[in-house]
Amino acid sequence: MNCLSKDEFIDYLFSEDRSIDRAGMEGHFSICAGCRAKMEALKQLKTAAASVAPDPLPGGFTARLMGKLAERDAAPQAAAVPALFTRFFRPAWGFGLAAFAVAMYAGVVFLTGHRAPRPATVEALYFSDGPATVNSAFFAPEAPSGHNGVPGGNRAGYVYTDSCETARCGIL
Amino acid sequence: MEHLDKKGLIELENTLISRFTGGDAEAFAGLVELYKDRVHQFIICILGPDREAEDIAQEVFIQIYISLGNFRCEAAFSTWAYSLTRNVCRRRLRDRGRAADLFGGAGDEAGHELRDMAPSIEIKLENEETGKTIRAAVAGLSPLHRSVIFLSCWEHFSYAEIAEALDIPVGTVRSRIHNAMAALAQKLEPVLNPDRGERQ
Repeated sequence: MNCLSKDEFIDYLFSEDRSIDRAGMEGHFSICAGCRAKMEALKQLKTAAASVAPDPLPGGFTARLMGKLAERDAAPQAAAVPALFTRFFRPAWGFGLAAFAVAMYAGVVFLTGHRAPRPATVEALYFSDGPATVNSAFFAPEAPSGHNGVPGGNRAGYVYTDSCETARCGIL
Repeated sequence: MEHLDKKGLIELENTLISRFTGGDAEAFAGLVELYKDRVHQFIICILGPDREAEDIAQEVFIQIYISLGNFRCEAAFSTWAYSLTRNVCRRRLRDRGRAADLFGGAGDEAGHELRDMAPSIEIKLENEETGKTIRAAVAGLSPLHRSVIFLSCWEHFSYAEIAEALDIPVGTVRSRIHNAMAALAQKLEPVLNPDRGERQ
């Protein structure tokens, strides 16, 4: 076996891969002082690095953490409601919904003409001391549009006679 | 710190996880006891000495507490816990306005080749002074090298586990270990080869 590459040194000391030819490497170490020295140096370095134990946390860490977790578990509802609210009712969605509602209302009003200007109904009152009379020009069905500034078809007339003036019952 | 063997540790943590997911919240305290110092050390590896390290460790364990119900035992708990720790540290760095690309490759320059570091004396690990020197040497490495050394030398993680914990490709783990060891060798040059240091 030839002298080991740097990757093979690392594999020998750090890899758990069983396909590595450890026996071949060890055979080489027995005849090559250079590789043996390098491997020993690396092994010593690894041992030195492994001797650095983790810095311990200050005492009471676990108790403080468990206290914090207990507090957190004690108020799950209070936390859950705002979380749900913010998840499903975001302000942007509220503005969008409001804009949609306004647009829908405007569309409905526009399409139905519910709020469009309409001609006012013209009323004409006739008083008579005799039998009821009718102004046929006013009530004529073919009266031209714009008569008296009012389109035809939107007229209502009341004819009162002496006999019903008080009762005001003479609706035509 | 007591260092359980890997198999025993995995069995213990699986038992604690099963108890916790079965409703025993106290089992979580056992997991915290097992991992608190290691998570803390990993945070220091990533961020360096940090006055908020304990707060960050708390944040990590709260994350673990919240997510443990979704943990599938397909991966080792330790690898998963270190991945969460890495993400919390990354988020913390981002909040501080610092670059959060922890292990993208920056700081992975090899100090020098390993062939230069054959020791002329044995490192006396039981020596308190030597222990401090080694600790200082590791602390002086880049976050990537510190993390790689911690996971490979202390945790004895496999290449795949290191890759997952650090979010780096498996194929680069070997070279990262090599470069970290070379950088550490350079830092420890005065301890490993005092004669060479005097000659230079």
